[in-house]
Amino acid sequence: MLINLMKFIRGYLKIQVYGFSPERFINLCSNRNILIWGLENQNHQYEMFLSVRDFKKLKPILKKTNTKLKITERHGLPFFLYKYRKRKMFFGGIILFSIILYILSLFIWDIDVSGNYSRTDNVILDFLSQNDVYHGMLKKQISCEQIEQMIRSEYDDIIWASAQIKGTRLLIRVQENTDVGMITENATPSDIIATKDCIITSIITRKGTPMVTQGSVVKKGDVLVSGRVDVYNDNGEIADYQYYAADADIYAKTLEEYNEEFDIKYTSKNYTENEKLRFYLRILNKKINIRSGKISYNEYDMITNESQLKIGNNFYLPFILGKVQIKEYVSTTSTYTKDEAIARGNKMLKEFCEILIEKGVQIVENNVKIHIGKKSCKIDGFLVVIEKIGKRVDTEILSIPEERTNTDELE
Amino acid sequence: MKKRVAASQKNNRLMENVADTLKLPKDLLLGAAILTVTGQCEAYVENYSGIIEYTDKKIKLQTKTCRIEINGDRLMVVYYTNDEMKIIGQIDEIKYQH
Repeated sequence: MLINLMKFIRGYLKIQVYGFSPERFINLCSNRNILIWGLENQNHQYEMFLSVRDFKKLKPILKKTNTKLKITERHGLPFFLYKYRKRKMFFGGIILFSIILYILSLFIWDIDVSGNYSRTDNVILDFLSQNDVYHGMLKKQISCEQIEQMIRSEYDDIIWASAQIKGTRLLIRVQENTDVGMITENATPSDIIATKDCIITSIITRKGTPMVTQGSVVKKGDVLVSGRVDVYNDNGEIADYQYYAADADIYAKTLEEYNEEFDIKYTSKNYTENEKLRFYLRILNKKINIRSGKISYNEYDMITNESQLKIGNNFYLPFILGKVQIKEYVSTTSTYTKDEAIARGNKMLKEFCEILIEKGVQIVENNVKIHIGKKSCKIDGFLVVIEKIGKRVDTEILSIPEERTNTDELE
Repeated sequence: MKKRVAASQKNNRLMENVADTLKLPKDLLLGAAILTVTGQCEAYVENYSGIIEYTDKKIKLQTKTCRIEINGDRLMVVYYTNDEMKIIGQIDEIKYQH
């Protein structure tokens, strides 16, 4: 392959040798290190290939062997260039192509971020573009060390960063600190209060003074666990208060109301097979319709898909190609039957319950009923659920009781 | 004449022994041609000194010790340099002449 390419660039000829002793000619050629290939003997005439440079050395051999020579074919780049020497635009194009290729290679066309787990590529790319590192910038202006430093100083959890220019790509590799950061404990004294009326089913206190027990009926806003811990002296009097951030798991039975209503009449879309496609191009907020025309449908849905053209993975061009799908439908109005309405109501309730269960709520009782009226269907009632309740609020700091200081003075 | 042939044969045998005991390549010491034939359609020849005759039915080569005649059909030399050549075509027989 490479040899063929070299032959092509240097240029080669096909010659015909005839005369007294072509064999001697060939032997002399090989003796003088002239490479011959494709030697063929047809009708007592020898045909062979040899390179242009070697061809110039043939004259003394021809004289010596008294043979004659005829060039039959010319191949290769020198002959090609000679043949098309008058096509100036062609050569101009080759030169222009090389120049454009060179100019384009001066820019960064793709920024590749890898090694990031907790931060998305876009976050890092946005940060870089704020600091004048963006797609399409000159390669010269990039200082890899500066980028590394910028990333490390901006993000605390990135412990190592490397920036590298590879061709027209800027490769950024980061290493994130995967150790979980310290959980800062809430140090300010706080109480836990009820967020709604409920009956406590279980309470486990880790810090603070529990104010309720299992079975207590609690109203909204009542303190469940106080952050204040009383310290008693020997006389059984309060000597001091210690304040903590109250911490407890409290589960309580509450009522969850549920009200929902839907019309018993509904319209449904029956899509016909008719469909039309429209395309448009948006360049810098200017919309150009590629295919337009009136839409003859009475009722239709329009589904628009926009995709931005990009080079590589992250370099977006300011061109947006849009595709609009227009689907015709015929709407029909119909009424739910009793069974259908009940099924729909049950489905809605079930969805609601599933959302609750996902939040970690236990459903104990279900008192929801479905009433079917003339115009609408009502679902209402309540659910008895056990859920985790409690909201943190700051503790009121009380002054230390006066009596103690008084008695101290008396003694 | 007979004497000379006998002497050269003796010399040859000596060189052969030398080559065997010293484990040297025979083509260097004896100036023997190397012929590598692949199937019936391809032959490499090394260590020759020239072409004597070449047509599409017959190629006759001169080597240091003997002449090699390759007979066949549609014979063609793919390349030909000072120390190696490749022949393709249908090879029917290879003859050695002293």
